[in-house]
Amino acid sequence: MKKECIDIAIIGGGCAGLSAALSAKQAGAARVVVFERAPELGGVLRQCIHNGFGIHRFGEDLTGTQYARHLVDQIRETDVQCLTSTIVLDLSAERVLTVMNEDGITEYSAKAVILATGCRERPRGALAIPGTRPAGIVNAGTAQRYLNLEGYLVGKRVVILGSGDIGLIMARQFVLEGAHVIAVAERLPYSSGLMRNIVQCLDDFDIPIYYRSTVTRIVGENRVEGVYLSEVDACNCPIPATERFIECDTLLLSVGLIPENELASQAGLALLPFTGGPAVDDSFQTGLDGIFCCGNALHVHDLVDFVSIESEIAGRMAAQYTLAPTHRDCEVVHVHDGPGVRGIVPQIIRRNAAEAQVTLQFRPDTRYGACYIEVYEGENRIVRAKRAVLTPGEMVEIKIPRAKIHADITVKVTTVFT
Amino acid sequence: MEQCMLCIGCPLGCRLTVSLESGEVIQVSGNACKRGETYAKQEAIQPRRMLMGNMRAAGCSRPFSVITDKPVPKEMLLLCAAELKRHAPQPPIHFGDVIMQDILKTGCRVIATQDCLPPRKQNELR
Repeated sequence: MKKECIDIAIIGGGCAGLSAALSAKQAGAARVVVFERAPELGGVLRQCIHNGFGIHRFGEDLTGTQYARHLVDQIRETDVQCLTSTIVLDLSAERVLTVMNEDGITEYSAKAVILATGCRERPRGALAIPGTRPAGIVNAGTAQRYLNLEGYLVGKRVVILGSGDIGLIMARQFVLEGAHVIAVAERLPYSSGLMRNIVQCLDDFDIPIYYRSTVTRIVGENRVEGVYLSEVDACNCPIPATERFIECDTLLLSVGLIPENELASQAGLALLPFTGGPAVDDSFQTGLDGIFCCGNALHVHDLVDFVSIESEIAGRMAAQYTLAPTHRDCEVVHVHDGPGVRGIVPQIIRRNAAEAQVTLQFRPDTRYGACYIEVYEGENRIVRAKRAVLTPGEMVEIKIPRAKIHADITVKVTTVFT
Repeated sequence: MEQCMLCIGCPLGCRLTVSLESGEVIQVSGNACKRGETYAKQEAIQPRRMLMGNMRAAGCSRPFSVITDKPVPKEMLLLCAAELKRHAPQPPIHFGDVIMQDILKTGCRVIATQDCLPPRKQNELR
């Protein structure tokens, strides 16, 4: 078996991996290799032909494909080696990667590893929707890939379960392709997608959205013939009297994204319940020395711009780690989810790091109107920030001066009138 | 005359109220920023939307994605989407190429956002 020694191994050639690679080179890293299992770089951006990307990061309104092209053009100007159609089969805690492609199997030993493996969609099986298993039950992201990369429209009369952005974006694309999108069903009383997508993907085309509703049965022999929709109560239990049949040939599922972390687990990293990713400190280093994580593999993002920003930090930190490996800062504090807060990242803050500010990100557990984000150190409140609106569909960000943090902190959301 | 709408400019989703007189916008309220005002003024008079889609180059099995350079009138969105299907431009298509100069007289150009290059010959080196 061939063996190679490199400085930084980046697993995943999507936005996170490429942004980290560029930043690592800028920070002076020597041999950086990106491993990407698809035939092309870009990750999920390759199939996102709609605009809305890059407004924060580049000040331009780009399509996903344009954003990806921007990154790929920049990478081609560096000596970063990008291996496509290449899969990482195994990662050890000692940062040894077992890699396979057309040239065979190679073992790479890296000084630092960045996990940028993205996420996958929750499938029908995980929801255990009763009924038959005909053709025509497709995840929204899969339908997007079929349409935009392969040229196949997976159905003509569509019901969509889940009001996340992917489902909304595909609702619009299906209509523009001449299909009929009959309805969207959402279990919660509000959408987890951006309001602007409700307007420009559903309202614009008079597609109804039924809140507090779910699919309770799928019907069809070889192909979907229809679904039963039911309302659900406050405990998410279907209300039998409300069940009704909707004829359709396709059920599109947009019911959540799950970080893809088999390699992280193989290396020995525990995955946290709310984020689905490993715990990291504010340099995005995990519990294993020299192994970093960023992008959707760490926690699922809403905007690719913030994947870039996060991954650029991880890349820079990984480069610094390879150039001057230091003992792990043992002076750290832990960050805890308080009431209203889900899945705060990072979970650990280095007390003595150079950067003056620490950025924390989390999702609220439900919708809030006017509220405060508060950071407590024991009984002492060290930060209070007012917000007009918080919703689980949009990641919340708060910056804290590092100098204010001396012990473990808890972040919570409180409504203004309590 | 007053019209209510939801701004789609950013995640806040401000609820806007637009006052119109003789077909002209005289006031916008409810917006948290200037972009909301700009959006409301356009939306009240003539709603416009960006059109994105796929086209097929002649002889190619896979599509390539396109987008308009400006938003088209909302009522023409479906017509323009159908129009994209009627054209099969000759490959090679390069990222950034102008595929159509003016789609259905909207004054909007259609731009390629992917490459569509002819398939490599079998004995060509990678």
